[in-house]
Amino acid sequence: MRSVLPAACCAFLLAGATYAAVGVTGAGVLLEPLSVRPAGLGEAYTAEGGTVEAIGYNPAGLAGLAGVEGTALVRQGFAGDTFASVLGGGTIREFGFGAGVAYLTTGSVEQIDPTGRLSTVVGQSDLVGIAGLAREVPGTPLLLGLSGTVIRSQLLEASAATDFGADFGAQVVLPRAGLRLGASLQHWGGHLRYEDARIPVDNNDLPLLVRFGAALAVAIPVGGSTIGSLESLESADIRESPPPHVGRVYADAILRRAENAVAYAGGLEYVYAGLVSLRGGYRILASGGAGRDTAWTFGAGIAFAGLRVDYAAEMLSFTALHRIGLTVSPKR
Amino acid sequence: MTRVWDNQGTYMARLTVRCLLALALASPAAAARWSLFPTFPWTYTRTGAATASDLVVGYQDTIWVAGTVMDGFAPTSGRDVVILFYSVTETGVAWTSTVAAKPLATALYDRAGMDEGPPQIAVAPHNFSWGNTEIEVFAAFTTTGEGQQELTVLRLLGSFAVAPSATSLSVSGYPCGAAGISVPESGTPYAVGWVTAGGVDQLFYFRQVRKNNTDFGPCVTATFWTGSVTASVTGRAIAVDGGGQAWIAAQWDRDIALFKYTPEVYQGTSAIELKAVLAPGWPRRFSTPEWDEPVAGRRDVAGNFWVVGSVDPDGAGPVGSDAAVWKFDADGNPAPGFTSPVRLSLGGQAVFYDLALDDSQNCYVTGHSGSTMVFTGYDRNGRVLPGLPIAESAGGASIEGRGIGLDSTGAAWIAATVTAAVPLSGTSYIALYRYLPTPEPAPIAPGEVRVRGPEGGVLNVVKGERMAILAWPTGSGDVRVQVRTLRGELIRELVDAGPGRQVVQLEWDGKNASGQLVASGTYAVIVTGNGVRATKRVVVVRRP
Repeated sequence: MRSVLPAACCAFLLAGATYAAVGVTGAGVLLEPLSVRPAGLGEAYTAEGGTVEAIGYNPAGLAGLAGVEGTALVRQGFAGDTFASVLGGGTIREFGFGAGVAYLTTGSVEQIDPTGRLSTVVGQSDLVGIAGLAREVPGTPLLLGLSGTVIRSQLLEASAATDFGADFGAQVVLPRAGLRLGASLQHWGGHLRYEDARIPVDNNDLPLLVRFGAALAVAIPVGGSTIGSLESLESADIRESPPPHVGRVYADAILRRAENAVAYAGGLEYVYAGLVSLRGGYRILASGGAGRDTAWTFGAGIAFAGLRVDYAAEMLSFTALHRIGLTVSPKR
Repeated sequence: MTRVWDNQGTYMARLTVRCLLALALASPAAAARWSLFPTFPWTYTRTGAATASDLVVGYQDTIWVAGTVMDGFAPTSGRDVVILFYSVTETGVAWTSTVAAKPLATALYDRAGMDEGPPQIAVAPHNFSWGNTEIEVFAAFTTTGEGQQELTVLRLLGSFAVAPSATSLSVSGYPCGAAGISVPESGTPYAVGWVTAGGVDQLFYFRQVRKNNTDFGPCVTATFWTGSVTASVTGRAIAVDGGGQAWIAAQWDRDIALFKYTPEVYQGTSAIELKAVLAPGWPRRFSTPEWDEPVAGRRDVAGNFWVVGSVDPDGAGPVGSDAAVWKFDADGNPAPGFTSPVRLSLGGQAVFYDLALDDSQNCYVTGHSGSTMVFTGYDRNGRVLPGLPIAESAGGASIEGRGIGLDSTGAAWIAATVTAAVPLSGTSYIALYRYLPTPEPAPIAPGEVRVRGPEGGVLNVVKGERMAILAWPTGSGDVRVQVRTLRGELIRELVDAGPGRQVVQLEWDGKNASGQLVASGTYAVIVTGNGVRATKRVVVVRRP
């Protein structure tokens, strides 16, 4: 219940932004999940940390990485598009760092040029590079992180655009409450202009996001034991020997500033003995005149010997998106 | 009338679109419409007068326009021949819309003291046996002055690096002139025209022997037909195939006549030479009660000989005529299945001046009817091609389409002469038109969905383009179109809730539900309804 209050505050702050203009920002590839686990949790991942997967939502989550970690994702889209990403991270002294690349290709489209010639070309291909780092502010429960993104987008095999963006994030870890709070600013940067900005009208803002989130982790009592605390779950001992039943709850509110839209997301995860994970999530996007977009998400993971295979399904109103991934984290 | 509602409840009538679509569906063949390409017509003016007489499309879609110019208001040397060179392919592949609307090069032929008549033009095939990599252009015209008339063949190279060279020819002092020219694979120009001998015009057939890549010299084969010493027989058009076989359309008094000359080798006084021999059973004269006048002719890929010109129904002469197209088969007989001549008149005297043939044996023609330029086309059976004819007018001026050619994209180029209503010096100029064929949406099958805009699957929102979404639901009920990002976020929703429709057409204008243009990128168009379900990709771009 303690996590409900911050989420409610966030929702209140964002309640005014109800008239959405979804679609007016470019670089839609930046809104893709870079790993599978967050996708199964409705992408309510702003407050999650200690994993390289956090770089897609809040770079402050890179702090507290247990060691070298890598993850990869691939998904086949409903429109014949394909997205893949690879992330890797680790620690250097007190810093956690992460980096990765992502690639989107949308498949071919038919194009008629001004002379009437019909040709088939790749509609769009985007390449994204991301790198970030984070650290704990000494003596405080505060984690700070930042990351940079570069995107190279090509349309119709003819027009290309390059842009840079920056993410800033913060997280507060409250061990006694079993709670993490997070906030981040994502994709702060310029404009994606194809044809090297020679066309003034081709001015596509990056999808600027302001995210707020909360995460609660609990040890689920089985057989009459008491509810565990975050302190115990976060401790090194517990990492070495996780409790048999762990539950996590996530909640996010995301302001899509350039689009004047608000999205909410929530997720639940149950982990058995650190080996098997079951996930569920829900997200909702208030997209103004077009109504509300909602989606249930489901996921699962199986971990063994430092490897984890993940699957996530995103149940859109008209189809389902499936993502699979592999995570390598030797120290986990 | 069905009603189309978008998600904002805005009512949009689509009756016109539906009617057109219904017509397209009823037609057994996919229709096409022709539209004048933006920035056209291009014009070429002089201080005096400029007139077009022919147009050909050469290798790499180079456009060659031949005509005459007369500068100033007190010309001293009469008309001069001008050849205009346009290139719309900077790299040989891609069209660039920034091509200037003026010729890239101009060649002017002015023989002192002479008046040069309207030239006919031909471009040598790029890969002829002499290996010249330059584009080679020949023009044939009549030169008049100093009490004589001559047939002149002008040769110039596409680069204009070589000064124009010309061969002028007269026959035993008889006046003669040119009316048509053809350059087959050999790169040798063949011209046809007339020679006035014995008081009447006779067919004059001219072949300029090519000695090597640059030397056309004095090697000339010329003959005129003396089969009739009383009739006037004037060569009007010539088409020569790779074997040197020449088909000629001639005006025989008031009839059309066809001549076929075949090459024959013989021992000359000092060397083996070539002469043209009239094929047995030729010429063929086609007598009718009307006055038939050929103007131009070409052979199609099947060997048929198409001739265009005019027909005067009352037989009183070429006044008040209809524009006409004749088609003859490879044996010189009227082509079966084609009722020659096919006529056209949109009011006033009408003439077809030139024709162009595509590989499907369709014939595109241009000319004029009254004061309007006419562009039309006929299929192999003489049926008017869909979307044609087009009549082009220019206020009080008259326009005559004088030359037509097809480029590699199927677009039709027309060189026209525009003349002001009051014929003063300096009031005519050359106008170049380019018509682009646009296929209509082909009939779709039940359960099928098609998404297409003016640029195919590409939607240029800056130009205000719209993406047409066609669906043929097999059941009753709404057809719903959702435009979504590739992440699945809803951008726009369109619903056709009209009853009783067979084919649904909706349009997406590139805007989201808030009426804002979406960003450049790829979007998914999802069409669902009774019996239809499809997801199509659309790429939104912003190009000025």
